[in-house]
Amino acid sequence: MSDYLQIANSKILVFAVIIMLTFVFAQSMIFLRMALKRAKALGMDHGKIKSAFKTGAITCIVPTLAIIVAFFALAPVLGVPISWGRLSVIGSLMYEVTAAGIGAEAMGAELGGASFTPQVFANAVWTMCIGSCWSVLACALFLKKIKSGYKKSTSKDDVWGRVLSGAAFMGVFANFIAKPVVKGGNSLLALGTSAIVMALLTFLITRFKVKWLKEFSLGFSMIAAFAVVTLMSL
Amino acid sequence: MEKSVQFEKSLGLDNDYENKVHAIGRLSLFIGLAGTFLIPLTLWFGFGLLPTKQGLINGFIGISAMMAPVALAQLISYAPVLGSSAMYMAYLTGNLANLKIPSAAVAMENAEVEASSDEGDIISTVAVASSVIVSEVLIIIGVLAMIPLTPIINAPVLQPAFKEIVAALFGAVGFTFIMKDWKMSIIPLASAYFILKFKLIPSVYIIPALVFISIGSARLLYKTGIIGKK
Repeated sequence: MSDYLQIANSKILVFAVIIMLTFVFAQSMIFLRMALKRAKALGMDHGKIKSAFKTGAITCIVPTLAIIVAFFALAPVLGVPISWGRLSVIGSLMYEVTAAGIGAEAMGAELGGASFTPQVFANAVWTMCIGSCWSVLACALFLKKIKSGYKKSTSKDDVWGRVLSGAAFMGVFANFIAKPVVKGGNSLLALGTSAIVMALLTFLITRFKVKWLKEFSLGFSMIAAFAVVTLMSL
Repeated sequence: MEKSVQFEKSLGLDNDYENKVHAIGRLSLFIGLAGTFLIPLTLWFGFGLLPTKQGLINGFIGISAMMAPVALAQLISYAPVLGSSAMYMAYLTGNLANLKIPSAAVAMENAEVEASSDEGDIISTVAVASSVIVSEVLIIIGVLAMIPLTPIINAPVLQPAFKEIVAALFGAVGFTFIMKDWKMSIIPLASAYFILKFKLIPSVYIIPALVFISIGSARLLYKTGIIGKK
């Protein structure tokens, strides 16, 4: 288990992530410059632009902290550079863990378990990368068409599209929810604790309108599950 | 007369700007997507680490069964929320529903502009760009803070907990998702339980099968008007 972690934490992977992130920054800077130029051409109030920049910066802080908590959870399994890189580009925490889990399962192993060999680790990484192609290619190929379609017919809400998307996700989630139930032990304990804490947090959020808690709820639920499993394993 | 000339002019500007955004956006997504493969390629060429052929095929089938059916549906539902350039940035950096979309929504609300307007397009672009920059910087700080903490996180006492990452994640996510539309979750959950409990089908086919069952049952519930009503 530790030999793949040496590879997973190697400097050359850190370098690969830095290249990726440089590109992400470059893209944002280009779009930002274009938008500022256009705002000037349209004669937009500069104060509005400034405030939009500030709002974007402040609003992202809390959700980002949740991503950092997720990084701490993912790094011991996938190594620092891969967890950092994957959580910084495309996808989300949920996607990355799901994809890595599917990649491990495809080789009959388990994420972070004793069966998680270097080869299984490589498969988890490939699966994470391959899976994100679908949504990114869809955006690259079809956004222009969809955008002009929306522009033509102002708003045509597709309820079935939303249901279909929710159903596809439920199909995948059902596997990961039912597995710990069938397995029992620590897995069931983690699943149950996390679900109960999430339920409590959701109650607090809606009952007392603690909006900031919303962004943390996933991270807190996972940490609570880790804490209970650790205590019960002592 | 003067107004219509101005209108045509602004339309021309619109198309120029939009076309440029899409050209840059597409190119950057292709390059960025290729860039994400630097990691597995480094594992391959740097360390000779490759998965087995069968493992890779199974992984491809499993993840694609989850991502392919929703990719277009998701794109269609996000497209009207963000401007085009904001969409390209959000798709390259991910975390749309939990980060980019809230940032843009708050910014547009503060600026009192509509998402579909030219101004809304610019405001959402600026908000998403700033949230991309700030969030990536914060993550870098988080990564640096982790290095002194690594020995603690690698402590043997914590290992049982780390083995349960997926279970811990899906407890919370599962709760939220089931609550969102519990009627839709009953059939896929029950199917998953029985399939896993009695090992009814080979493990690689479980996820595609469950997605199929879930979409099929959702279609039925939608047709009968049990779900999907606003």
